[in-house]
Amino acid sequence: MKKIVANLEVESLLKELHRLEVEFVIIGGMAAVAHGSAYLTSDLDLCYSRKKQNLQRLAEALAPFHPRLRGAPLDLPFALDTSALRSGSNFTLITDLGNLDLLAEVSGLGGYEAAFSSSEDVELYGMRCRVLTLEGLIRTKKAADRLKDRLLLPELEALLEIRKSQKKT
Amino acid sequence: MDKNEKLTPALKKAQEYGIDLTLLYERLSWTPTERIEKNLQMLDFAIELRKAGEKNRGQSRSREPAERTS
Repeated sequence: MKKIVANLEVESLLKELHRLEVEFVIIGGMAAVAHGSAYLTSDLDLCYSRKKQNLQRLAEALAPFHPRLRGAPLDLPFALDTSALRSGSNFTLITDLGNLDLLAEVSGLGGYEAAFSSSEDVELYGMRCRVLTLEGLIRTKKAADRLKDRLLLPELEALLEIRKSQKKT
Repeated sequence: MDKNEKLTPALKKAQEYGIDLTLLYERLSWTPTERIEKNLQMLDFAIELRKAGEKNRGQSRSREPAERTS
C-alpha cells in the first residue's frame, strides 16, 4: 500500500464535497497541476459559494475531517460551522485529510460566481469538478503578483499555448 | 515534444525561463487525476528527502562536538 506522508487526500476531500453537492471551484496550485503544471503543491485551495445552504453543506462535508485553523494554537477553540463560515471569508485549514484553504474571493476575479464563470468541468477521480481555467489562473496570478505567482506565470502561459495549438490540430 | 514543432513566443519564453517543456508535454499526456496523483507522489518523495536531510544534518551536528574535542 502506498505510504502517504504528504497527508493530502484530495480524492476523499472531493468525494465528500461532491456527495453533499457543495458548490466550489478548485483554484490555485492544484488547479494548475490539474492543467498540467509541474509545480508541486501541498494544499487544496477552493473558492466556495457564500449561499447559506452551501455554507451548511460545506461545514457538514468537512466536519468528519476535523478542520482546524492552520498555525493556530491547538487549544484555541474553533469549530468550522455555518456561523464561523458566515462570519469569516478566507480560512486556512488543516484537516485529517491535509491542508485545505477556503476562499470566498479570488484575486483578479472576485467571488464564487466570477470564479465559476472562469472555470471548466474537469473529471477528477470519476467526478465532474469545476476547476479554474488556465486563463483564469493566469489572471489571478497576475493580480496577486507575489513572487511565487510570478514564478508560475511562464509555465501557465506555456500550457495555455500548448492547449491552443492542440485544439487547432 | 514533436521536434518539428515550431516554438511559439510563449513557449520560447518559458524555455528561456528554464521550464522543461518535455515535462509539460508528459503531464498533458496524463489525465487530470493522474496529474494530481503524481504531484502527491512527488510531494511525498520531497518530504521524505527533506526528512532524511534533516536527520542527516542532526546526526552530523551531534557528532561535531566530539569531533572537535578529539
